[in-house]
Amino acid sequence: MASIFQKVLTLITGNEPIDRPFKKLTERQLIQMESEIGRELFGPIPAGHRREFFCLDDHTWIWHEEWKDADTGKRRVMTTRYEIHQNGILKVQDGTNYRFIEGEELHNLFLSIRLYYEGVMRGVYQTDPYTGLRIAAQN
Amino acid sequence: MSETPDYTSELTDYKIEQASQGEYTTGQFDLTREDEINSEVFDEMNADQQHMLLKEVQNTYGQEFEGHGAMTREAFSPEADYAGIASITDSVMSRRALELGLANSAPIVPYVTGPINKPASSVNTYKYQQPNETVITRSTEDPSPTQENFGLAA
Repeated sequence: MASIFQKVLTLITGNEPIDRPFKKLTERQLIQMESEIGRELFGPIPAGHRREFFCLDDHTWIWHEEWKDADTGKRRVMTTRYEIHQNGILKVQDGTNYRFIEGEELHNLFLSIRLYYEGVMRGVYQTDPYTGLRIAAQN
Repeated sequence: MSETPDYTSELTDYKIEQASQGEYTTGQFDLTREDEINSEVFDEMNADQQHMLLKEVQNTYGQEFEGHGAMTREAFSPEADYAGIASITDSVMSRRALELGLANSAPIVPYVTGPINKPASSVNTYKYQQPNETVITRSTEDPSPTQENFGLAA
């Protein structure tokens, strides 16, 4: 019965159904899925490291890194917030001065975020990043 | 008031000639990929000079230079980098809101995928609006990320 329903739906919409459970995802789950793509944007993650990179909200991007200090064996955590302000992108790190990033750092962040957008649109939302249209599932 | 340096004129002619011959088309003029930059002279220019040159080419050929190449060229300026970040952030949030059922409209596409001529001041017009408190209320079962707890613990 479900198969017939899917075929009818496909005939009506012209799109193959996307292979995703009907259960609605939470914001947290979506961010996790986005971060799975985001964390891969900066090259290989060293063994023992945990990295997250994601868009937190409409004015904040997060870079989070955790690792074990080889010398002390202690767990280290570094979290960087990039906040979008009217006058620039503010880089916020614990224990350091806040500053607006510029030059190459700003440009690299932009490129990273662009890659994030392209990857997330396709990989998480099955959406063409250039048109905003849904990508039909393969097979 | 200083005049615009003359260094672009000859190269502009060169690039425009190449463009007119179809050597550069949308999507191929991507300066982030070194293998797609053919002019040795062009490579020797600094980023500002390249940006100025490309602006001239774009102004001459207008819409022919939209697309990925335009997006990359525009990104040479800090203003464009900032505008791109803001615009993409809005796009991500609008797409997420759509997925969560918090928005009904189609997700916006960031301006960086659009025309190069679109001024930075015209972007970032979309504001992520949470429709009501009930929908966005966090529960212990769904701890949405905060600045202290990113909600990504294994």
